[in-house]
Amino acid sequence: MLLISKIRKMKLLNKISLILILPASLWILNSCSEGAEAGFDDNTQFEQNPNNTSGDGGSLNQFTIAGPNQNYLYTVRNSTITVFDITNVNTPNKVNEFNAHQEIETVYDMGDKLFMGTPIGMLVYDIQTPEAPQYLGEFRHVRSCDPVVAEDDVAFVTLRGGGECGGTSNELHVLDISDPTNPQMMFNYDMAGPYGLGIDNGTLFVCDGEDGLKVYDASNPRNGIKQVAHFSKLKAIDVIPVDGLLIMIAEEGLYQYKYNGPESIELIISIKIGD
Amino acid sequence: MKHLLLIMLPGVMLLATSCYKCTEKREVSKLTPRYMSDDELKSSIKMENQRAISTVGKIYFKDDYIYISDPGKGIHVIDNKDPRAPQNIGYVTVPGNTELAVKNSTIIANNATDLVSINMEDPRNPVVTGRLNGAFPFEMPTDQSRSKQYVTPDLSKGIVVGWNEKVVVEESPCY
Repeated sequence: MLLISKIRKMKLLNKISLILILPASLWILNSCSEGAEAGFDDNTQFEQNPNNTSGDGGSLNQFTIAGPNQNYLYTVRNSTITVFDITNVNTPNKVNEFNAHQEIETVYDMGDKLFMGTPIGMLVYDIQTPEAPQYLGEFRHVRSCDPVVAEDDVAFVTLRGGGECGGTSNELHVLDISDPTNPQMMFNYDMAGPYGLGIDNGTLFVCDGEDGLKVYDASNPRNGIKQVAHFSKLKAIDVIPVDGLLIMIAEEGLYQYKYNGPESIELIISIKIGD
Repeated sequence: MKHLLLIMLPGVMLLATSCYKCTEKREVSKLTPRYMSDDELKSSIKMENQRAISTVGKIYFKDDYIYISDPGKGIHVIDNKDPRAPQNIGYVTVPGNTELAVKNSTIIANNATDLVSINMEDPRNPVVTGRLNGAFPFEMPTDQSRSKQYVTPDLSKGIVVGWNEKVVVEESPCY
C-alpha cells in the first residue's frame, strides 16, 4: 500500500522529487524487512525452496501434485484414483480414473512413487508414467485410519482405531520400503489415537490426537525411532514440516514450531483461526 | 372364506381411515438440504472476512501462505510471511470443498463436483481462472449432528452443498 501510494504521488511530482523519493521509499522498505528479521533470535530463515512449485500439503490430504514439473494432480476418494494433467493449472484435464482394490484415505508422493493410506494397509504406486500409475505393492494391517509419509526407503504409518475407519489399534508403524513391491514392518509403537504425521530429514512429527504432538529422532530408522519431545494439552490433527518450520493444525488452532534436527524444537506461535 | 377375509380386511381399514381425516401438526427439528444450482456453484467462490473455523480440515503451505480447509464451506487464508505473527487475512467461500493443493500461485480445489483453479497472486482478491465441470461424482455431504433427521433432498433443485437445521411442521395422522 505504501508503495502504491508513493507511485501515485510520483505522477504528481517532477523528476527531481522522484529522484529524492525513490531512495527514501527503498530505505523504508529495507528497514521494514530488517525489523521483521530482528524478531528471530538466531536469524532462522523460514523459506520454502523457491523451486518448490507445488508447496507442501498435510499427510491427511487426498490431493497431491507430483510428476515431471509438478504437472499432475493425483486425487483419491473412496476407492477411486484420478489423474489430472495440470500442465496449465487453469485448464485441468482428467487423463485417467480407475479403481484400486480397496478404499483409499490419503495420498503422499515421494519421487516417482505414490503412497496411499487405506483402512487396511498402505499401497504403493509407481508414477514413472505419470498418467498411468502402476500398482507396485502393499503392506496390510488391521482395520484403522492411517496416513503415511516416507523418506528415503522407510515409510511411517499411523493407525487410529475407534474412528470412522473402524478397528481398535492405535499404533505407529515403521516400514522398510527398499523393495516397494513388498513393504516390511520393522518397528511398531503404541500410540494414543494418532492422526497426521510428517518427516523431515530424520525428524518425525506425529499428531497423536488428544495426546498432542510427539517428536521422534528417526535419523536412523532401521535401528528404531526415539521420542525426543512431547507437546501435550492439545488435540493435534496434522503437520507440515518445511525446512525448520513445523506448521501444525490442532482443534485448538494453528501452531508453529521452529526445529533444527530432532534435538531442537520450540513453539513459536499458536493462534486461533478467526478470533 | 378365511382368505377372502384377509384380502378384505386391509380394504376395510383403508376405507375406515379415509373417513376420519384426523391429522396432527408437530414441529420437528430436521436437517434440510442447502441447494446450489450449476450457475450458483460457478459464482460461489468469493473472498470474505476472516471467520472462526467450524471444523479443522486439510492444510496446505505454499509461498508464505497457509491454507486451511473448513470442510464443505471454504478455505481460510493465513499470511505466514512472519511465522511468529501469522495474519488471518480472510476466507474464500468454496461450497463443497474438502481438498486442495497449490501449484505456483493457484489453488486447485474441489468445489462440490467441480475442480476449480483459484488464482491467489493477490491473496486478498482470489480469481477463479479455471473450472472442470463434473470432475468428481456427487457425494451427499454429511453433517456431524448425525442424531438429527435429514429431509430427503430433491436433486432437481440442484446439488446439495450442506445442511441447515430447520424446524419443519409435519402433519401426521392421528393414532
